[in-house]
Amino acid sequence: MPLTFLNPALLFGAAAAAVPLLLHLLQRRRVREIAFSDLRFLEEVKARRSRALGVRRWLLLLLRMLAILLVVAAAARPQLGGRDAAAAAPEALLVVLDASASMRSERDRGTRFDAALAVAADAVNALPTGGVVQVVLAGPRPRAVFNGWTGAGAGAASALRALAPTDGAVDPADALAEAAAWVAAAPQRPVTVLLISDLQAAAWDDAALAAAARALAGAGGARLALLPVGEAQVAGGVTRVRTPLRALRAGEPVQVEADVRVGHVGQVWRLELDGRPVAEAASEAAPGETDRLTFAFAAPAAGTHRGLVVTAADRLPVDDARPFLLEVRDRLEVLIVHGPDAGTAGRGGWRYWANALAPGGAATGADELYGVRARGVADVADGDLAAADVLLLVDPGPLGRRLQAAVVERLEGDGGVALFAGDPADAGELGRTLLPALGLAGPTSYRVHGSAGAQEVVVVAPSHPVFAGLPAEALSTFARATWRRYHALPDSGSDVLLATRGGDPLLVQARRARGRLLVAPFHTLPDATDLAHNPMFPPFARRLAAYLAGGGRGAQDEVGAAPAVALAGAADGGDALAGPALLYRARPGALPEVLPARLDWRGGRAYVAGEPATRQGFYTFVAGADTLGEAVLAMPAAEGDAALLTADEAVARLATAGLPGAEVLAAAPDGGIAAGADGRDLAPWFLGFAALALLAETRLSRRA
Amino acid sequence: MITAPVSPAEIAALGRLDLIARLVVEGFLVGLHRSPYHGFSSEFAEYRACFPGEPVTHVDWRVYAKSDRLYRKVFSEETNLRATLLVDCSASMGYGSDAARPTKLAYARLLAASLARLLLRQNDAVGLELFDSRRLGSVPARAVRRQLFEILKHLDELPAGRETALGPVLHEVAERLPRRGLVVLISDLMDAPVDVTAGLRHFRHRGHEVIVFQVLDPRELDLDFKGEARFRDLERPDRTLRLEPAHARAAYRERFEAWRGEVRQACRRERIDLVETTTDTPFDRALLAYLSKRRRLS
Repeated sequence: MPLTFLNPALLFGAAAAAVPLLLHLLQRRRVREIAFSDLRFLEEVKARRSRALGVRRWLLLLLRMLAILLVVAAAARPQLGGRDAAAAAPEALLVVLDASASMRSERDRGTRFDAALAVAADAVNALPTGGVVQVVLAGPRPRAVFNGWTGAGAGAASALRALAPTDGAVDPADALAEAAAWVAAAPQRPVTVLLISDLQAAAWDDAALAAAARALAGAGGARLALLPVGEAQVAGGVTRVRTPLRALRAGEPVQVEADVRVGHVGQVWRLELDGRPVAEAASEAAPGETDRLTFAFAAPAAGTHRGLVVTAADRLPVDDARPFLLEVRDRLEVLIVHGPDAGTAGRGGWRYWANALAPGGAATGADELYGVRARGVADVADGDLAAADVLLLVDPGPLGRRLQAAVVERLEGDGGVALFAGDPADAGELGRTLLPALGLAGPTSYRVHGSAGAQEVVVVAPSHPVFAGLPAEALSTFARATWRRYHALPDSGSDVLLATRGGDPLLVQARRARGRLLVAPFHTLPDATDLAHNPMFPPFARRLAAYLAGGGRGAQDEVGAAPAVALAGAADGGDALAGPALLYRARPGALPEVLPARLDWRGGRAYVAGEPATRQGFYTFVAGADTLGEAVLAMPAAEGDAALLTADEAVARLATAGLPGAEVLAAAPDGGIAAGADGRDLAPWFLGFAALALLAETRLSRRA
Repeated sequence: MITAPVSPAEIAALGRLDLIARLVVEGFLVGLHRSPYHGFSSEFAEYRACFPGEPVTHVDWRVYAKSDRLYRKVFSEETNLRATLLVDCSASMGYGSDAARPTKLAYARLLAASLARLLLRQNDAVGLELFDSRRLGSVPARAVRRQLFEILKHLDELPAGRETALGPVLHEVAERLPRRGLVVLISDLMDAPVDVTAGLRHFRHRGHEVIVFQVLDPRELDLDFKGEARFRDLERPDRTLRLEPAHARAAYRERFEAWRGEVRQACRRERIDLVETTTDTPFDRALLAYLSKRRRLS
């Protein structure tokens, strides 16, 4: 088995072995002269001992040199049977540094990221003269630290010290793909890609790794070395916060759910709003397991409130306070777009909806949550669409190209649209154009049941925000509503919220981009359903509108996404926000960081958005002195996952992905690169022999 | 009055040899509380005031009765002793390990001057022989007052020494001494004990009493040097020896003591008084050794 060194650069320290030799020679040269009365006796003594003394003197010198050589060799981390030391000293070194949130986990000394930086600096310092280095900081979006391949040296190593981990996730495949681009541009070969990571299991996706492997292979090939810096540990944290998915009104009961990873039994979690604790809960699950906690409180005053679900900080502090935004609306603008009022079945049914939402009419008092505006399908202006939080299409008939495009855009944003279509004359239009435009498959058939066969309704998804929190009596009352005429929707994989007892869906939630789309295949005139006369209809209509208006969506955004807020009142193509908008991120305890933001248009609505962010926290958008809105980004839940791949598992995954032969290095406790995973560390032996040499030297010098 | 012994270094620093010899001898005599070395002669020399602690044996009670003061009578010794001081001036005697201490030769010079003064003070005839491997100068033994100055003059002009060859030169000196007497050899005896003994035996054979003052430097006894050094022989400057004293110290001491043992044994065999002294030993001891010998001779 070959003897190799992981830090071969330190072998230059072997020159120190020359020090005793130099001292010895200098002593010989600078020896002082002493006049003595008679050398007779000294000559006799020396004649008797000189041979032994000479041998001992050289033996002492050899022992001293041997001790120094052994210590230097031990510092260079010798290993028997390990991999070639050149793994730490290639001519071109590409360090892929995991900068995900899990790298913030604290170890006995510093964080995983600190350890990663230390071994990265060691690897850079170990580069031979003329070596080049590049570092890819693998956060949510991998980026190169240097503008190009740069010469190894103190400058490169010191630049590493300025790096910081992100609060986001890392995709090893993305990181390796970025690495492949730099490998292709490497000015010299061979290239070693040194991946330093905690190998968090959740981040390793085989398919993406395979793509990265192909990219890496296509870049001319590089040796891949893996250096794990993680150690398994159980740390509690908040993985998800669920705010009600509907618009909230001040004072109404609110339940916020939080998914937590329990760190210890009876761990206490606190919900804070605007810095004040408002609710508390304790987890009952065992350490390492997940638990769902519910925080109940009354909705605060209208406005956007910063919330945190907090627990005591542990070894991964970043997930011990998960931010969210709680939006309490003072008014929701509902735009009802309807078809002609007369002429065909179902026309005029929109009024039931308008009356249920705003019993006093559109011009209601300021204390009413809903402001309703009804427009015929031909009369809808751009301003109507831009001002509406909720769009209800009630038997609109053909939407027309412009309105259809506006609906699709709204859904591709995060807007809410409900389509009520119960006119049998619209069946063709519904199945041919409208539903496909909304991402739902046609065709449809129209069902008509006699009075005796009226279908009672079943609430299929009582936990849906439209129905969540309603008492059982309310649900049973609602279930007494019957339907006689409706379209039978095709099964398009949508979530059914309401259905007849016969199984025909009456209210489905379609998955469409970020928006919320509800489709109801009936009209609300009495010949089709008695829903409008059900006592639960007004609450149902308001909850439906509140759901479509949305709420708490900010809690879903994770670090790595671009923070964005919608601008109320900005119509498509408007130039109200012409000029630069500024984004600044405000984090507790930190100075605001001003970042550029850009104006964007989605679904006919204006947004300001920043660059994809790398830090968890609240992002406030301002334009001049005006606050445009606030967004929140939280750490990806998977980053708190304690499961780590072992080095061998990671090597196997890489091999499966097409990157065979990845080498494994190990990080020493002091931050250096220690022995390879399968090499035997000989440093303790070398130090032991050095101690023995010193002991022998001491004994011999005493005897001499 | 009790005086602390004055070290040879302090005395040597005084410079003038006559003053030094006087200081040494007078100080030595006054410091003797009980002086058995006076009064053995029958010739009155002088009166001297009694000091507290002195024996009352020689108090002149008549003078006391007349003057109410205590005086003691001091007698001068009548003698026919001829003493010859043999001072080794070889190069090895020039060794001094420390600037604060006199060299062996300087010590020998002071000792010789002091002995000369003491001898002359007791009306003994004193001569001087200087030598290294050959005779370098001599002062025939006389008991005149001027003799001290002659001796001191020779001692002041000590020639630069060469290699030691004690045996031949001792034989030569022994042949030249006309009458029996006391021979005082001041030397480090750095020569083969056989040769030294042969020379000394020659003196004994011719009826001389011999006292040998072996003067050594303390470093010669213990080889207390730090660090490796190149030793240069004072007698043969072309000879050097590179050595780590710490490594050789024990063996050197052993060998040196063996040599000294041989010297002691040879002196004992020839009934020669051997006074071993080092250059940091006060002169009192040497003078005392002489007086002891002198008393035995009288």
